[in-house]
Amino acid sequence: MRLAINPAACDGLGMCAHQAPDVIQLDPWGYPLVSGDELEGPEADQASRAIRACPRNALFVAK
Amino acid sequence: MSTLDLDLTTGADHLLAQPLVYPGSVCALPLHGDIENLATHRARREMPVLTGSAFADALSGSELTGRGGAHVPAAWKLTAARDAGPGGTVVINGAEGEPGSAKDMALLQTRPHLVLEGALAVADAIRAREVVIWLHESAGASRASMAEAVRERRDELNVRVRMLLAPEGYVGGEASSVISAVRGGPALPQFSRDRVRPWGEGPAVLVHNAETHARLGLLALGANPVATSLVTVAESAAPLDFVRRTVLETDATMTFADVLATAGAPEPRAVLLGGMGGTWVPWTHLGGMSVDPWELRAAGLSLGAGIVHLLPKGRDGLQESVAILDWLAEQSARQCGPCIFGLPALADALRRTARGRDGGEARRIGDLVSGRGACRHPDGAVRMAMSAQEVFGS
Repeated sequence: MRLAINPAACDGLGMCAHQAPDVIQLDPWGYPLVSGDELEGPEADQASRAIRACPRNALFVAK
Repeated sequence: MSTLDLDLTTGADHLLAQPLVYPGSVCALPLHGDIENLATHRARREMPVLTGSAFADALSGSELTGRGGAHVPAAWKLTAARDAGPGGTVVINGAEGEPGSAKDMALLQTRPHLVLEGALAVADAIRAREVVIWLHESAGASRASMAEAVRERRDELNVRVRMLLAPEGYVGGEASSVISAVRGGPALPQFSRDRVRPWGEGPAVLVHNAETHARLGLLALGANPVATSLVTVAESAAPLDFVRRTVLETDATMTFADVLATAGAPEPRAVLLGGMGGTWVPWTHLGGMSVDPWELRAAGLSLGAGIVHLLPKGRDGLQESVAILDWLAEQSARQCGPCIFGLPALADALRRTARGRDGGEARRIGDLVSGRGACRHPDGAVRMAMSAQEVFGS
C-alpha cells in the first residue's frame, strides 16, 4: 500500500505521527510528511492505524 | 476603427487586430479596443463549420494546450468530458488572478463572440447542459461585453448560458475552485491530482480560460488555433504596482526583444516569466530568445499564463521577490498547512537572503513546501523564490 494525504483536509493535529512513527514525520509546523513509498508489513499496519486515527479523514490509501 | 478595418487587419488565425494597452490595474476597456459584435464576427466566416465529433477530431489533430499555465492538451480534457456523459458544464474562466495579466480580459472585451464560439463548440461536443462565464465582480467591462454578446445570440442558443461571479483574489481562478463554485460549493481549491478529469465523478465541469476558448473558437471556424500566443507585458512603478499592461499577439518568429519593442517598453534588468509563480530570467539571457513554447521548454522555461513581468533596471530583484512572496502568502486560500505556514517562512528566509545572510534556508523551506498543497499555488511561489536566489543571489 501507499499512503496519501489530502492537504486541504489536514489540520495538523498530529495523531497520524503518533500512530505511525516509522512512516510519518511532522514538518516544523506540525503537518505530516508522507513519502508515497510502497509500504509493507509493520509499516503498512502503522499506516492503516494512522488512517483510522485521523479525525479529519485526511489520510487515505493511494490508488 | 470601422468594421471593415477590423476585417482587414485581424488575420484568420489571429486573436487581436493590434496590441491593446491597459493603463493601471483596473478592468476597463483598453485604449484603441473595439468590441467585435455578432455581425462582424459572422462576417469572418459563414457560420461555425465544425461541431460535435468533427470538432473533437479536429482538436485531436491540433496541438492546442490550455493557456492558463498548466498547458494540459485541450483534446485530453475534451475526450475525458465526452466520456463522462451528457449534462455537463463548460466554463469560460475569465477570473485572471494574475495581477500582471490582461490577455483574457482583452479577449472577453474585444472578441466576446470568438470566446463564446469556442465554449459553444465544446458544449456541443460534450453534450453539455450549460455554459458558465466565471468573472470577477470587479471586471465591469468584461462582464458588459460578454452579457451583450450572449444577448445578441439569445435566439439561437441551445444551452443555458449564465454568469457566475468569482471572489477577488489569486486562487479564485484556479480550475478546482471554479469547479467547486459551479457545483454550489465554496470557490476554494479542491484536492485532486487528476489534471485531465479534475471534476472527479459525474458529468464534466470543463474549465478553460478565455484565451483557450478563443482558440477553440478559431478551430471551430476552421482556422489554425496555435499559430500565435498572447502575452501581457507588465510594467510596474514599484513591486506589484502595475502601471501599464500591454497585451500583444506573438509567434515563434519574434524574440522577446521584439515583444518589448512592440510594446514600447524599456529594456529591463530581468523578467519574471509566466506570472507571480513563474521563473526569473536575466534579460541578457531572454532578450534574444524566441517566443516559442518549444524553445522555452528546452531552456527549462514556460510562458505560463503569458506574463512578461519586467524588473526595471535599478530595482532590486530580491526585494521585488520578497514583496511578491509576501503577496502570494496573503493570497493563500488558507486550507493547507504547508501553504499557510510555509509561504511566510519562505518569504522571511528570502528577506534574510536579501540582507546578505544566505544560509541556504530558503531552499530548505522550498523543498519542504513544494508539492504539498491541494493546488499548485505553493509550488509556484517556491519556483519563483528559487529562481530569484539563482538570478539575484550573490
